[in-house]
Amino acid sequence: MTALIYGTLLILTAFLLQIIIWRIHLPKRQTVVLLFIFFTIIAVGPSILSHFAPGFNILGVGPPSTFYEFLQTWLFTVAVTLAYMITYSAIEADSPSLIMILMVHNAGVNGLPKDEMEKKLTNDLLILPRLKDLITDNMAVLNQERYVLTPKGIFLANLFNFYRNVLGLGKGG
Amino acid sequence: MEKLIFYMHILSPIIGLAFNVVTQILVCRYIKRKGLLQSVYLGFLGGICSIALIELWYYYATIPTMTESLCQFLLNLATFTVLGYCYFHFINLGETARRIRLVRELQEAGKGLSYDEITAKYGAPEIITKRLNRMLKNNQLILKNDRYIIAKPHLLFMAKLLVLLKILFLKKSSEHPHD
Repeated sequence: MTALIYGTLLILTAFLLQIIIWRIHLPKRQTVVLLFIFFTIIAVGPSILSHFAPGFNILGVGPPSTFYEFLQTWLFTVAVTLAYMITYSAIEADSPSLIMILMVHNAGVNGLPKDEMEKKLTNDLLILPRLKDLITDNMAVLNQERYVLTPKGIFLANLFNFYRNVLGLGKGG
Repeated sequence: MEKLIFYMHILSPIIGLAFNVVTQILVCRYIKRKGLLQSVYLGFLGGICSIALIELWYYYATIPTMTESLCQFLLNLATFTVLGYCYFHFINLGETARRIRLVRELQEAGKGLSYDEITAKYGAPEIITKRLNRMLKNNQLILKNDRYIIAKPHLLFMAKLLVLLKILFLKKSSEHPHD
């Protein structure tokens, strides 16, 4: 119960802090800043509560105090943080499927032909922003008008190559 | 023995995730008639079963109160569910993410690629066709007189929800609000 209550409290605190910071200034590398906010609060939050607010309790439950309560709280909050990071990436970047669904919806009851989608969804809209992301996240560099992977990008490619080979799957995308 | 079951109980979401991953890989590799999505569901089920067994073992080995036992089980189940969601998205990234496909294309090319070379290997027509096929297969869309029409509202609901969240966080409805 301790981990669930205080884990939720930590996540909500980090979420509120994110909204405040995002309202003041939208960071350029949003995921990195998000990770920093969430992991800092997860790392120091339980200790701060235990040491500086000894009488503090929610619904009669005090903050984590034993090693196991800390471990459970961290496990829960780290899992929720990772899930939130993944979900947030869909907010940060437009998903082609969701753009297409909205285009079909906006076309009304008569529907939308494929060539209408192809006219609007160009390479500059679907590919170029993701290439820019690779450069912003230091996964690739633009060298004499050629995109070249950095060690970080190579690591990511190897990770997914390996995993998709394990699953026996093709290129994806 | 009691210490072992206690640690297994504390770490049961991680053990559940391991069962989830192994089951998913085995189903995906060796039962080809099951699709990728079904292998993810079966993997998740495998994880839940392992957690339920650990929690039962813990309950009979330590005899905690029913309330305490139920709370612990729910917490571990919630943590595992969130970890399972992360794993599902990891699989999904490899399947649908443009960034992952781009880094794989760049790695395969070795000496890097120009923008035109990249879009020749992986461009908008392939992205659109793959997604349309997926949405037709999952009955999200139907094709009638060469025009696409929404069949199920689930994806549309998600799209609208994401637009609201974009407005909340980014103060704009899209990466390209003027397109």
